[in-house]
Order: sequence, then C-alpha cells, then structure tokens
Amino acid sequence: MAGQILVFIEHYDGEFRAITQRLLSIGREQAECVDARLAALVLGHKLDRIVGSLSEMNLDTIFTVDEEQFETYNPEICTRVVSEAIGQISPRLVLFGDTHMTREIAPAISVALNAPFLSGCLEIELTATKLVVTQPKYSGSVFVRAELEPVPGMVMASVQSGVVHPQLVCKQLPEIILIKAGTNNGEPRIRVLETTAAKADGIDIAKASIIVAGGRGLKAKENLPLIRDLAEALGGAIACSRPLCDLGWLPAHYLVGMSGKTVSPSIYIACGISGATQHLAGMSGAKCVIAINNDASAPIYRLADYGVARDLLEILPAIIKEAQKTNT
Amino acid sequence: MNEVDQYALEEALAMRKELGGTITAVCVGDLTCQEVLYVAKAKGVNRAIRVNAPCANEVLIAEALAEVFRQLKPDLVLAGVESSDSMTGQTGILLAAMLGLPFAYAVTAIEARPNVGWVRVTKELGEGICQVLEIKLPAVLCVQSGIQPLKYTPPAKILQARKELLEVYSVPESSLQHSVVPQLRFTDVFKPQGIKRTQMLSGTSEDIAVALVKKIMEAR
Repeated sequence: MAGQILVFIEHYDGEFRAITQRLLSIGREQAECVDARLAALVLGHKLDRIVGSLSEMNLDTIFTVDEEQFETYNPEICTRVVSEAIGQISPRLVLFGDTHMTREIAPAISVALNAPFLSGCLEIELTATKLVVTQPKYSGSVFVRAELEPVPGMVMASVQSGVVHPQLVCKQLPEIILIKAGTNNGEPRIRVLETTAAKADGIDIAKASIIVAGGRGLKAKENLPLIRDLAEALGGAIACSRPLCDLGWLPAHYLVGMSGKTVSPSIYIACGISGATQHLAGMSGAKCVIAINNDASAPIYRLADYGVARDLLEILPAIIKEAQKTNT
Repeated sequence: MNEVDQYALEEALAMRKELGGTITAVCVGDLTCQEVLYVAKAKGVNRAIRVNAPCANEVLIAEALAEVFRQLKPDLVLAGVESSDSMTGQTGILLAAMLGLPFAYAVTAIEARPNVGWVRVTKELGEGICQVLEIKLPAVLCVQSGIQPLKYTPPAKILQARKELLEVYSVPESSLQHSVVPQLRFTDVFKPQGIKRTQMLSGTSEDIAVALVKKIMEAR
C-alpha cells in the first residue's frame, strides 16, 4: 500500500499521555503490514523534550506544529490546526488514543477532512484492501468486528488502552518536519481560562502498590469504610470507579479510568466494580487483579486473576478480618 | 434513556430554573424512542420532538439532528458524552461541526454568567486534568455523568405524559448528505473473551477470605 500512517501524539506538562506507547506500537505493526511509513504529529510549544523522546520510538517522520499559541490546548484552535496539518500530510490512516481530547476534536476533524472516523477501537488491522476493527458495544457487554472495504483515501481511528507490543526499539532517527499553522481571521469563540490537574490532598493513587477500589456495588456511602479498612489492613490506598464520584461519595482524585488516573499497582482489588471500558482503561496495567462482584459475567472478570462472585457486603468483612490477622 | 443523557436533561432543567427559557428534548429514531421523550416530558421539558430519520450510525443521526436544529435555532445544545449502545461518543461533536458551532466535551459544570452570550464551562481532559473555558453561544456541550444529581420521576407523571402528543419532524434519507459515513460491514458479534484466566474462589466466606489474603500476600 505504501503511503503513511500518522499517529497523533497527546502530551501534558512535558509528559506523554498514557496511551502513546500503545499507539506507536500499533502504528509500527500496521505500517510493517502494509509497507507504509510511520509518522507522528505533535502540536504544542517548546516541544524539544517531547520530540527528543519521540525520536527514540522508531518513527520515520515527526511532524511538529510548535508555536506559542499552542502552549495551552484550545479545542477550537486545535481542531482547525490539526485538520490543516493532517490535510497537508495526507496519510492513509490516522491513529488517535481514545481520550477526552480525541473525543472532543476528532469527530470535528473528520467532518473537516471528509474522512470517516472509527472511534473506541480495541483492535485494528490494516491490510492492502481493507481495515478491520474490533469495537465494544452495549456498555462493553459485546464486541463487534467490522470491516471497511475498500479503504477510502484517508481513515481516522481511535484506539483504547490495552496491550503494548514491544515494537519501539529505535532502528532509525526520524526526519523532523516543522509545519507552520495557518492564521485564522475569524473571531475566537472559545477562551481558555485555566487548565489544572486535580488536587490530591497528599494522596497519589498512581503511586500506590496496592489499590482497593470501590464501585456501585458498595450500594451506600455508609459502606465506604469497608474499602478503607481493607486498604488500611493491606497497607494500600483506596480508589473508585465513576459512579462513586458522580454520587459525590469520593472526590475526583480517587477516580481510576479514562477521566481519572491511570494506575498500574502490584495488586488491584475491584470491589463491586462492573468494569466499564472507561474504568478498564485506567487499571488494565495492574499486575494482579482481584475482582469481587456477585455478577460472574461482569466485564471486570476479563482482566481478573482471581474472582469472588459473592455479595460484597457479606464477603468484605471476612477478608478484612483475615487481612488484619495476617498483618499482626 | 441513556444514562449520560439523563444527566444532560437534569442540567437543562437546573439551568432553566436559574435562568428561565425553554427546554426542547429531541430524539432521533422510530416510534420505539417515544418512551424516552415521554420520560423527558414527565421531567418537565417544554417541547419533545421525535426526529423520524434513519439512525444506523452516528453520522446519519448527527446529520438528521443538524437538519432539525437549523430550524429550531437553539441557544445551547446539551448532549451526553456517549450512548450506551453504540458507544462511539461522536454524535454531539459531529452535530456541532456540521452546524459550525463551538463545542466542548466531558463538561462537568456550566455557568451562564458573567458574560451575556457566553457560558463558562468546566470540563475534563482525562487523567485527572480539568479545563475551564468560556464558550460563545450558540454552542454544543457534551455533558459528563454526575453534572447534576439525578432526580426521581414518579410513574404517574410518565403515565400523564403518555397522553400528550409528541411533535414529529421527518428527515428523509434522501435529504441527508452521508458525508463521512464509514461504510462498515459488521462481520462478527461476540462475547468479550477474558484477557486473563480468572481463578474463581469459592467456599464459605472464611475459606474465601483465607485463600484470597494468601494470594494477596504472594502477589505483593
């Protein structure tokens, strides 16, 4: 097929987003399958460090748009400039991470470029004639496999977090090409006032080696001490899935998932968490996953090393008692 | 009704309480989606419109909505972040792009002050990062779950709402542009396979607790 596969790189505060390694490894794998070149596009200001790291990731080309106006992400400007840049580069396939930023700008970019956008893919496989994707449907309870054949001139796809195949050994130094952003004469309709990371009053769950996370299965705020007590007995930290933040039981910095933290502890104990794809995106890197959920078909069990399909409120006190006994 | 759409509706109701104005609930689909609109009516929306149009994918849905919204000319469009069935998370932003309106995704707070004609929006950027923006109206905001507490809707109100007539706008397939519709052919539907082989623990609560704590001590 030849041509180019382009990976859109997201970064914050000089660091790559968690999905970057996976995107580049998928990009390299697919580029080899269809004999295409692998390129990255990165937008921002003072990108030396990011470009330096990218240079070691086995890319053929790095396109940068490096201007002061991109120091802070603005969805309106970013949509316009990224659309223009992708239009100029004209790749066959553009890979995005399935992140909030992608979800904000990629559909609009697809309209601007008249290129179909396949979102939230779990797997993606490009051949000379077709593109095959696997996507979750119905809250992740089923997966579908779908084919796009023939592949139009340009396709965009976003990929969820998951396995990183080790494909990033640096074999070459990439060519670095600076793209200049076009000017926009229209009145801005979005003004960014501030961009901040959630404050964590001293606790950073991303650093904990044991995490006890609670979900909707805890049923009532009064049951929160159950996960606290277990975390304490094991010397770990507590965390939660989306519903507990939505209900206001725990503040946002305890949230694990796409909106919150990405964690990879030694042990992740999911208590009453069903395992929505957004949550799995934040904890799939945990080494040992223990799931406690009375629904044995819950998606969390896909990732679990050990499972307990019992009522949470009945089993947790017994586990806490045993953990306290073992640790004393 | 999609869970995140319920939050979008609650936010609209809260904004109307504070600022006045009217709320129109719009849903694309065949007769089966009327039930969702009755619930919206029961919750207190001023108008409920069913858009009779093909809804095979997110691009067609956004195109049909864009047709209707060009006539309705709303000041603010609230959508949920994603549907629970197709999970593409694209419809709201596609709609904004087709209408040429500014947009924001994963919105967790909306303030209509201090500038007239603008809204102040707090939104998530993922991985714990938040952003505060001012967006000029009209705009499309994709609302995240949790923006407002969900309120209970008494069944009696839904029964009452079922007696009301819903407005129907028809958008025939021929009037849609089919601009960026991916010509996807579904080849397989399957239950997700486990990534890891899960060892299920069973027995009495005490047996499970002993076995599990032993596993935890080994893995730490």
